[in-house]
Amino acid sequence: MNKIHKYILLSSVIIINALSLSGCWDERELDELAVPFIRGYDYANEEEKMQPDDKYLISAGFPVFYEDTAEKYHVDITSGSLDGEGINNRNTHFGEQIIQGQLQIVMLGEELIRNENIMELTDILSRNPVVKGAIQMAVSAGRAADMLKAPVKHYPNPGIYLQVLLENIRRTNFLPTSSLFEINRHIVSNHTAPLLPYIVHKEGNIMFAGSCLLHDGKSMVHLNMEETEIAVLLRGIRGRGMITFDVMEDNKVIDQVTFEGKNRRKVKVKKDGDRYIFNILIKLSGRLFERKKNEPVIDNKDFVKLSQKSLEDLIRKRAEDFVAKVQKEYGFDALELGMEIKAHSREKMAEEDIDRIIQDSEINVEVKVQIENAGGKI
Amino acid sequence: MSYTITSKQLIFTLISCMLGAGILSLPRVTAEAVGQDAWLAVILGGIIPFVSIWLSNKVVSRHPGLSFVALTEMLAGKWAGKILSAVFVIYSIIASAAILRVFTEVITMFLLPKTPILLKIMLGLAVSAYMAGSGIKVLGRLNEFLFYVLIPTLFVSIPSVIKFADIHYLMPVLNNSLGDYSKAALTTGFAYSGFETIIVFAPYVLKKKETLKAAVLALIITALIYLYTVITTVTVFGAELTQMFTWPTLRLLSVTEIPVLERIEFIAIIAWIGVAIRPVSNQYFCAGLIIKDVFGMKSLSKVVILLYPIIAAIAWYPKNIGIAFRLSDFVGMYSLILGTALPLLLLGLSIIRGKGRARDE
Repeated sequence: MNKIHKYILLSSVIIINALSLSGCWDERELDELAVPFIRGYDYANEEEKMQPDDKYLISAGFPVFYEDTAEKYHVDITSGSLDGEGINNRNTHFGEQIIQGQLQIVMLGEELIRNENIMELTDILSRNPVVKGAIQMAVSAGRAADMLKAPVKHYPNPGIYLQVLLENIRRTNFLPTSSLFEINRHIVSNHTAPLLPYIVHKEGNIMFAGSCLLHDGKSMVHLNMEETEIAVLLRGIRGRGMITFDVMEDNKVIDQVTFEGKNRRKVKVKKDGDRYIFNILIKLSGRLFERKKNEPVIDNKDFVKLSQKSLEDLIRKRAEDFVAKVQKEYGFDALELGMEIKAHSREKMAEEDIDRIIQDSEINVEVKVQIENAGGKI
Repeated sequence: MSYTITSKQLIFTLISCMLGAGILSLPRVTAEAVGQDAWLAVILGGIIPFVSIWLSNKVVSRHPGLSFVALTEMLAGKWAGKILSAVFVIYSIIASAAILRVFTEVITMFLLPKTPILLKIMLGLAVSAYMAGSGIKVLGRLNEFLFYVLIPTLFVSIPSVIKFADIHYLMPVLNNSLGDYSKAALTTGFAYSGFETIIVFAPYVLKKKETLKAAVLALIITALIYLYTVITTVTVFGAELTQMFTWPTLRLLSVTEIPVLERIEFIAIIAWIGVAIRPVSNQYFCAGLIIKDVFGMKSLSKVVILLYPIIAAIAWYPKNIGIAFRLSDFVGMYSLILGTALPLLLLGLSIIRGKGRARDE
C-alpha cells in the first residue's frame, strides 16, 4: 500500500465515521426534546388510570423550550403498572423525545412509599445508565404529583426550587439528603434503612419537615425535625448546621447559645460472645454563633467548657432516646450500623440478621463537642 | 513496514493487549467470585499470566531473531508448526471480535443506542484495521500514546471515591474458601487475556535482554490499574451492589457530579474509546502477521483486508449482550490455555530437541 492509498483509506474512514456516527440514527433535534428534571410517583386513583390495571401515577416536570407559550414549566401526568408503561403512555400524547439524562429529583408520594419497596419503584432509574446515580430522592407529604405542581415564590418552578433546597441543605442544617445510589447502597450492601428527606407544601412554601426511614417496603417511619437531626448525627451523615441550647451550670440555666459547626461519627465494635457492643462517638466541632447575654465569653473562663458540656449532655440524651426507640420500636437498622456489623462478622448476613443484631446489641453513645471559636467578639 | 519495537513500546503494547473492555466489568466479576475480597482475586489472577510470560520469554530468548511462525515450524516441524500458528490465528481473530463486540455494547448503551450494531462494528474495525495494517512500529507508538489517554480517565473517579469510599466494604479480609479463591483467580485471569501475544511481539524487541523485564512490568502496571479500579468500585458500592451493575466502573463515575463538567462518565467513555480499540488492533495485527508469515505473503495490508469481514461477522454474531459476554469468557479461557500450553509445549520441544541457546553455547 503506497502513501496515496493510505491517505485515501484514512480519509475515507474518518469521513464515514463522522457521517455515520453523527448523522442518521442517533441524530436529535434540540427543539424536539423534552428534558424532565423532576419526577413523582404515586398510586393512581380510578379516574386517573389510563388503563384499568394501571397502578402508579407517574408525573414529570419539564421546562418548555418554545418561545411563544404562556407557561415555561409543564407537569405531565400519566399512569402505568410499571414505570416504563407510564413513559410509553406519555408518548401517546407527548410528541417530543424524552431525555432522562437531566433528571435531578425524584419525589415519592407518602402513601405509595408506606406500602411499596423503593428498590422496585426505582429499578427503571437504576437500570438506565443515562440516569445518574447522584439523582436526589425525597418523600412528599401527600401526593408527589401535587408537589410537582405546587407554586413556589421567586423560582420558575418547584423542580428548580427543590433542586437548590436539597443541594444545599447539608451545608446549612443537620438534615439528610439521599441520592439514588446511596439508597441502593443502604438497602443492597448495608441492609440499612435509607433516610429520605420529608418535604411538605405549607402556606405557599415548600419546606423540609423531617425525614422518613424506609424499611424494605414493609414500613415507613416518619421522624420529626429533632429526631431527624439526631438520626443524622448518629448515622454520621456529614453536614454543617446550627444547634441552639441552654448552657447549664449546677443544673441551672445560665445562658442560651447557638453552636454552628460540622459533625463526624466514629463507631467501635466489640463482641461479647454473640452479643455486639457498639460505641458510637459523635464529634461536633465549630464555634459559638451567638449568645443571649451580651457579655464577653472571656469573662467566664469556664463558659466555653460549660457550653461544650451542656451540648454534649443534650445530644447524648437525645441520642440515647433515639437509640432506645430504634431497638424497641423500629427493630431495624436505622443507625447505619449494618456495614460495621458485616465488616466484623465472618458469617453471611441477611437483612433479618442485621435487624436481630440491632435489637439485641448494646449501643452506647458518647458525644464530644469542640468549640474552637467564639466569633468576632471574645 | 518496520519490524522492531523498543522494550518500552513492548510494555505499552502488552498493557494495551490486556486492558480493554474488561476493566469496565472487572469489579462485578471479581465481586461475584469472592465478594469483598475482590482485590485479592485481581492479584491471584495475575499468577497464570506471569507464568505464561516467563515461559514465552524463555522460548523466544532461546531462539533470538525467529518470528513466531519460524519458531513453531522449527521446533514442531513444518506442518505441526502451521497447525500451532493456525490455533493462534483463530484465537486472535475470535479475541479481536469478542473485544470489539463488548466495546460496541458499551457504545450502544451510553452513546449511540439507535445506530445499528453492525455499523458500529464495521466502523470500529475499520479504525483497528488501519492501525493493524500500519505495522508493528506504528502500533507500538500508538499503544504508548493511547496509554497516556487512559491515565486521566482513571482519575476522574477520584471525586466519587473521596466522597463515598469506605474501607469497611473490604472487610472482613480472607473470608472465602480456598476453592473460591482458585475459581476467582481463574475468572480474573480472563481479564488479563492478551498477555499471550508476547510470544508474537517479543521477537521484534530491539534489546532482547529487556524483554522479560518489560513484560513483567506491563503485567504489574495492568494489575495495579485493575487493583485501583476494583478497590475504588467496591469501597464505594460495597460488594453486593457492585454485582448489580453491568459496568460498575462507569457507574462509579455517575454517583457524584463535578461542577461545570457534571456528567463525567461520558467524558471518560469518549477517552476510553481510544483505549478500548487498542486490544482489537493488537489481536488483529497478530492474526494478520502470522497469516502473512505462514503463507509467505509480502503485504500485511492485504491480509488485514481479507480478515476484515471474518472478524466483523464473528463480532456481529452474538444476538444479545449475554452471548457477547459468554464469547468474551470463552476468549478468556482460550487465552489462559493457549498462553500457558503453547509456550510450555514449545519450550519442551526446544529442550528435547536440544535446539536453541543451550546447543549454540
